[in-house]
Amino acid sequence: MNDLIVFEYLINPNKRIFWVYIISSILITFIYFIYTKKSNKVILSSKLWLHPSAKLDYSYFFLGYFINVFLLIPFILSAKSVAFAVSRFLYLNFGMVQNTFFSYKETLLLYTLALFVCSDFTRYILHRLLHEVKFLWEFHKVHHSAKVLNPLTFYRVHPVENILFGLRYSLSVGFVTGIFVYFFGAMIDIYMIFGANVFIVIFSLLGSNLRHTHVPISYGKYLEKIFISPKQHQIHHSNKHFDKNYGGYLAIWDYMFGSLKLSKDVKVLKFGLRKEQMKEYTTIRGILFFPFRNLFNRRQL
Amino acid sequence: MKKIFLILIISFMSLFAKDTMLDSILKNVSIVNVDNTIKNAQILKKDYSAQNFTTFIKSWKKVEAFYFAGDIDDNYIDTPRYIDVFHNLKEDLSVQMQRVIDSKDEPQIALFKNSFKTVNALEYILFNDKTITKREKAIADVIVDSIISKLDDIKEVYEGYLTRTKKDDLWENSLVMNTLIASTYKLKEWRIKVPHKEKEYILSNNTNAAIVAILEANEEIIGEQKYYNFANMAKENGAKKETIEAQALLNKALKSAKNNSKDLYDAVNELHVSYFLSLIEQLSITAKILEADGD
Repeated sequence: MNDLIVFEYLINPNKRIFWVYIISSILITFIYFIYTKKSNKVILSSKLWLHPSAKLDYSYFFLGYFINVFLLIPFILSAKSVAFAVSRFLYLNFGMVQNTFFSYKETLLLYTLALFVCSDFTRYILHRLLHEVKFLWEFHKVHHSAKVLNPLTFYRVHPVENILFGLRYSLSVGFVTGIFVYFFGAMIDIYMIFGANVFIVIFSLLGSNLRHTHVPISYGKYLEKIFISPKQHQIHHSNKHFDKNYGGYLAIWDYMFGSLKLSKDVKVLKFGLRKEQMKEYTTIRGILFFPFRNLFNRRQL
Repeated sequence: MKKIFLILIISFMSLFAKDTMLDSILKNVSIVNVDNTIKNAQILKKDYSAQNFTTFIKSWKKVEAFYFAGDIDDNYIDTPRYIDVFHNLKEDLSVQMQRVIDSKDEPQIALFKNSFKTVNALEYILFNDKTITKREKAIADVIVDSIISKLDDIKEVYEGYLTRTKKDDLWENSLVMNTLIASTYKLKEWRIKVPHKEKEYILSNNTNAAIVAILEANEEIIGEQKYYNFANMAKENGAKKETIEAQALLNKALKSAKNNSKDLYDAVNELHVSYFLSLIEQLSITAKILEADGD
């Protein structure tokens, strides 16, 4: 069964650890260490890959599969409902709009871009809320409890957060799709590579996996105002900068709303929560139940 | 010997390979309608009678209502506008065509604009008064030749598409769905709702014939037919109830059109709403897209 789970995640281009993205990340890492001549000791150390926090990521990853199956798939279906509710509302209130301006190819490009930008923006908002709303932070703490980073840390997420991200997906994708169905009818599609949104594929090939590693690749001060670099996300994981760099693929939201931190401004990175909190998240049981216990205790106080 | 045997098997299999919905529509509807229009244009050129013009217009409306060539090949997006400028032309074509008739230039030179070689221009030339002069006939001949040439282009695009090996079902289904929606939208808003003086083919009194032809074209695409069409595809994809409902509404609209009924607009509007809301939703044409965002 476990083989199947790994297989599904490795062969699906919509997943962060699709085998092509993993290989491209390894290649980028390889080039980075040759080019910068920095020590690759940490990245090759068994202490990193066999750290208790990393081991917890690996085992929790398998549980995440079932969380996705039972919690996310129903939400994907509801994205369709949102889309048709939006197009129905627009149609019944504003009548039909006849598109004579955009060609099929232009529509495809617009829709692909709109999906990507809208999805990235709502991801930024939800991520920020997860940090700034105390109730939600209890659940998001799980992700920040990783003491060391590896690509599977991406999946160290509490099921409540999974539900919220599923809902975000339904609403954002459904909303954009509904608008496009209204304006362009049935004839909308997206530019895809390997069956995934072309933008997602490009960014993933460029090393999305490196965000959850100890490879501090920076894009430079200008580009980092547009795109989130691996180092910028590592800065977000360092416990002094949890309130910076909430962005997914784009840094423009952080730039616009004052939460941007450039790589050049941070030298030392220390991952994980405060020491006394860390012991709460060392087991799968802890990850799943401590957020609820903490919320309950806080209410008691 | 093995190679020959293999080629024979592949050829035999391809003979029985199932057409896609668009393939079937192109073969059984679109190309047939283009051929009819070319034939009717040639008949018209021999005898510019009112009856021949009506027959020609009816066949052309079927081609125009379900025009797929522009989506198959971007180079042919504007072809319908070189044949028909109804609702797309801001200038007064009647005034300009009268100038063409009055001019001393050769018809080829006088008809220098694309809009001067359209069915709308042809209608003015033939029906601006009760007689067709020698000059008007010469002008009409040039217009008809130009229309036939454009129709030949359309046919070529359709035939070319049929020889392509790889087809995208989702794209084809969406294309036909959108064309159904657009045809009913234009029908109700451009041809039925407008004041009498703004209606199509007022001079030749073919307004209603054109409306009926467009609805008949809808019937060729979504009605019960012997060939594989949109109705078959929709039913196979779980939209049986919605398709039957749309077919009933289409019959109602056709009846209204044939009886010159006052509720024609409402009937076509109901059909349009049924296409846009029920069919798109039920067919879930966008299902693939919604799952491909990459979360």
